[in-house]
Amino acid sequence: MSTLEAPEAERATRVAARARGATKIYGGGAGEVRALDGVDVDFEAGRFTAIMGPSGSGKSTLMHCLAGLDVLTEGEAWLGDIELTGLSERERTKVRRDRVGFVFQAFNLIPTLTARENVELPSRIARRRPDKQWTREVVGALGLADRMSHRPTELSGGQQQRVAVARALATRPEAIFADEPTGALDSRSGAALLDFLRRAVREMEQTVVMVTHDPNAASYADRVVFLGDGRIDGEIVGPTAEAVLDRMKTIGGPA
Amino acid sequence: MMRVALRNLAATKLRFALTALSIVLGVAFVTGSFVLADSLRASVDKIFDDAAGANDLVVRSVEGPTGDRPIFALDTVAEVQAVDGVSDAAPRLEGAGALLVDGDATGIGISNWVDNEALSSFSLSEGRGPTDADEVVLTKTLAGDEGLEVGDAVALRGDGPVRDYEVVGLSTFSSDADDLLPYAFMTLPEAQSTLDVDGVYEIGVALEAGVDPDAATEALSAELPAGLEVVDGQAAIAADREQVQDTVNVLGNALLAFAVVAVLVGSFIVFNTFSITFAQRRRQLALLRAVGARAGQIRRMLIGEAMLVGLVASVVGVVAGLGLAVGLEELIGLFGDEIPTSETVLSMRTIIVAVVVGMGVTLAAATLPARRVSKVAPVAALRDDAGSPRRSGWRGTVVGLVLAALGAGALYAAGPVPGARTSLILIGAGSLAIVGAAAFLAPTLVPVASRVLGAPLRFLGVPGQLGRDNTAREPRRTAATAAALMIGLAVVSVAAVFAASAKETLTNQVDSRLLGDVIISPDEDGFEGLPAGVDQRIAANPDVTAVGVASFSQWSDGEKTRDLVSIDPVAFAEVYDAPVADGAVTDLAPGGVLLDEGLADDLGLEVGDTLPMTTPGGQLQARVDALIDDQILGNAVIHTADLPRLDPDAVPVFMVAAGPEGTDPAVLAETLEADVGDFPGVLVQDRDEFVADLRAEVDQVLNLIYALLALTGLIAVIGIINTLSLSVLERTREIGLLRAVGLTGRQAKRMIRAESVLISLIGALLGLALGTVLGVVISNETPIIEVVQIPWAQLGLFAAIAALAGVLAAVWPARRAAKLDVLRAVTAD
Ligand SMILES: Nc1ncnc2c1ncn2[C@@H]1O[C@H](COP(=O)(O)OP(=O)(O)O)[C@@H](O)[C@H]1O
Ligand SMILES: [Mg+2]
Repeated sequence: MSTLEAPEAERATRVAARARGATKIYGGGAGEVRALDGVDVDFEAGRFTAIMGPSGSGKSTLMHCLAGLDVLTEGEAWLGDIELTGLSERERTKVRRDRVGFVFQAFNLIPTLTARENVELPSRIARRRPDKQWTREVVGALGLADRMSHRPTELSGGQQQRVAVARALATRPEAIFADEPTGALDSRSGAALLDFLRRAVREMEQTVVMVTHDPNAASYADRVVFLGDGRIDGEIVGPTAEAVLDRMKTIGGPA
Repeated sequence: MMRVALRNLAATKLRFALTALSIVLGVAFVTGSFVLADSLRASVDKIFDDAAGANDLVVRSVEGPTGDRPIFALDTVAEVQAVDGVSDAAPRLEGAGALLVDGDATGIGISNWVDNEALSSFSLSEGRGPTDADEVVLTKTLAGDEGLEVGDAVALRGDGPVRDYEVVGLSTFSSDADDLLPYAFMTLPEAQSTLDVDGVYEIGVALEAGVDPDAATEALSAELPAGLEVVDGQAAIAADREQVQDTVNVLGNALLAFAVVAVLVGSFIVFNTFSITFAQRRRQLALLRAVGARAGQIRRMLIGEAMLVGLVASVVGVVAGLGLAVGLEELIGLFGDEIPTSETVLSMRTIIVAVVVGMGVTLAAATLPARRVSKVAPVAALRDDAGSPRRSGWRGTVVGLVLAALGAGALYAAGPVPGARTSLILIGAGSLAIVGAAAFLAPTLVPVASRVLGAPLRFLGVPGQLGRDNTAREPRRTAATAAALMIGLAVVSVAAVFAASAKETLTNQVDSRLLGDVIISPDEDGFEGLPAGVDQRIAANPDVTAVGVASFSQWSDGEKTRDLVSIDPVAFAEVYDAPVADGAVTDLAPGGVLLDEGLADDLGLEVGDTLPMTTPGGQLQARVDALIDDQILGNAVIHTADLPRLDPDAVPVFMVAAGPEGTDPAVLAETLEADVGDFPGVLVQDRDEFVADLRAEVDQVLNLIYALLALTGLIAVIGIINTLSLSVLERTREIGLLRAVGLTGRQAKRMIRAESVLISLIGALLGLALGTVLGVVISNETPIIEVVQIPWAQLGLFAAIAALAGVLAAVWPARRAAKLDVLRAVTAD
């Protein structure tokens, strides 16, 4: 195992996603909401980063803007060497397809497709041959090998989320963005999923950015970035659940 | 949140608008059919009332044995005039003729001018009445159409050669319908001469003021010679009125039949929409149940809503129907005769029937979905399952199978029984049962069809596959949507197969039976027969080796009046090889008859037996010389030699000329055409042109049917739009997810389009298959159809059109899918 694990210094040299002066304003005039207010943050490649903060602090917005789902009002959002802000909807769609992996809290799978078809969806949308060997490796690691011909309704919630992770990984994206991926799972399934995300980063050299409420979930990450009122509000490298919880208490309790 | 709500509301409104639209179109079609028929009836009535009102009494001859009224002597006018109480009497004569302008013949009526307002429905609007033989009065609209004015010269033909006249006046009919009645009026002697009639048809009688019509009738009857009768003005035109009204009724009923198809198709759409929209409200309804609403209350609420939509749609439909009536009139005018209406009649009956139909369809379509959803368990409000409808019920499948068996049984039992009424009823009921069966079986058939037909969509990649999968997802919904199209296309393809078979039969018959090269017949404008002298002219051409002439007349067996053809068997057999069942055409000798095989069967006659025939000229104890089986010759054929005695007025209507071996029919036709060029209204065609004309006639009817079914197609397409936009709405989240993981807007559109085209094709191909099978069965069981042909190319074209309709139906839903707010879709709860 340890041979697969690259030295810490080497893993963290490249930046997979980066925000510079990222500002997102919803609405206008009196009802204006600054969901992001000049966020500068780097998410290094080959790392598992958690984003935490109270409800409404801008976690999802930041993630959406970095993942090409939404556009900043001001500032820059980089995914690898691509700046997303100036891209057309069509170009952003291609970026999402080829360079981003998504895991949402729920409803991640297309119900008419089998697990395998769901996993291969992004490459098949791009009309590319899925990387079979890689897919097999990912699917094997997720313990889904005998579930691949099932449809989502035939899978448990935990299995569904794992299929979603497999899909997110299948194209070896620049980064995987997961918005509270364990939010709808029981704690055992949640732990298994988080464990896998960590393995994907450590053993498969993937990059994961995860929004979470849960200090315990955040403790699986290499680093936790805190958001408050649309601004970066510190970070913890190598977090433990206790450290995160302490930190959360100081900024106004768990979200 | 407010915006989402508003958007939902807008979507709902639009959905209801689309639902309402399919009701509106169906109701409009029903209304339009009634309005057009009523308006025509009213116009016809007005014309006949005006015509009837012109005479207090009419003197005419008693109806002859074959339904015609012989002419009688002009002297009778003086006798009538002399009777007490009669103030005026005017002889009347009428016949078919043609107005010739620049070589084009327009069919008109020729009559004598009656210069007496009390006895004529026509009055002068300009100029004066004719006093000289070469003067005519034209009806004003006719003159206008032909660009003629008082003082112009015109050429007219009655029963003889063309004669030249001067227009001295223009007349109008007392109701404003004179364009229905294009007439040329002449002096009485000239009318008699040009129509070759030595007498009069009737005498119009005006009574002195205060004279009792009954008394006058009695007085007149006493004075008149035998064979004449006196009737009042209304009675005099009753038969004509009835005949025209019958035609109008046939047209009205035919339109209604198409309207019924449209309504039927629309009902599927309405049913579908209610099923989906009610199901979408399942959670909300469950909440109502949870707070204490009973199932019945919810059901009544939903049905009440539906009925409101139905009522509004019906009212709009009635108004739209008024417009559609005008459109239908134009359409029929485009394909056939113009049918001018002088007024628009919207009767209470029309409104009631239309609203009952609209509301009835809505009620029927809403009941089942409302009942289904009203049974929702209160806890469903708390569960997240969208309440996906159960798989297609086995009950529907059983009903479908039973209907299919009954239908097949009826069609089998109908068998090829020529012309039998029960057979027709069995065919109709059987076809209906089969179509109904298909509708019930559709939910079972659709998943299979979508797998098979959707297989090629694989090559369109993910969008194609998803589109296909989506059609199989809600089999009932897809089935109801496709069934609408299926029914429309089944009717279309029955018509197509039947028409193709009819055309092929005609072509084969002409090809195998017509030995001659050129066919001479009256052109379609108003002529009942060929002008005298044409036959001699044709026979005189040195390139012609044989001429067969067929004259048409009528005969009666005492109960029914039938067409009677007369030929010179030897000459005719040289140009036309009629199929015989017993004997030969040349067996026909004077005093004999060639009898249709089927009719001989009905009458229990064989060759050598005697058939008593009543003809306009008298009785004939006809000897049955041979039995024939031919559509053109018809029921009974007698020898030309008997014609002068049996019907001196019979006119030749059909001539076939043959040249020597190796003649080019087109060349011969050209020379013959030149030969008879001075006879107007004569159509000279070579074999190919003749066949093409026959085929074109079938095509014209077929095209009218297609045009009338177009509205049904439109309703079916609306159904597809409806279903797709509902699906897009329901799958907002799913489409958002797809877009999030990289499906481009264009691919999303392609996905919806694939779904749409597949639904269209499923409906179309099921319909085409069903219609083709039924068309073949019906054609097989129709005695006059000898060759059954399936017009593959045409059916293929329909499938292509259906696919195109699918593409068009997808335009708007696809745009919605592509424009979907991805972020909102994936983050929505
Ligand atoms: N589409 C939107 N329109 C208006 N305001 C929005 C929208 N999306 C998010 N917001 C606002 O932006 C802020 C940040 O939201 P979000 O990024 O979802 O926070 P978090 O994920 O940290 O809970 C909140 O105040 C939220 O109300
Ligand atoms: Mg959030």
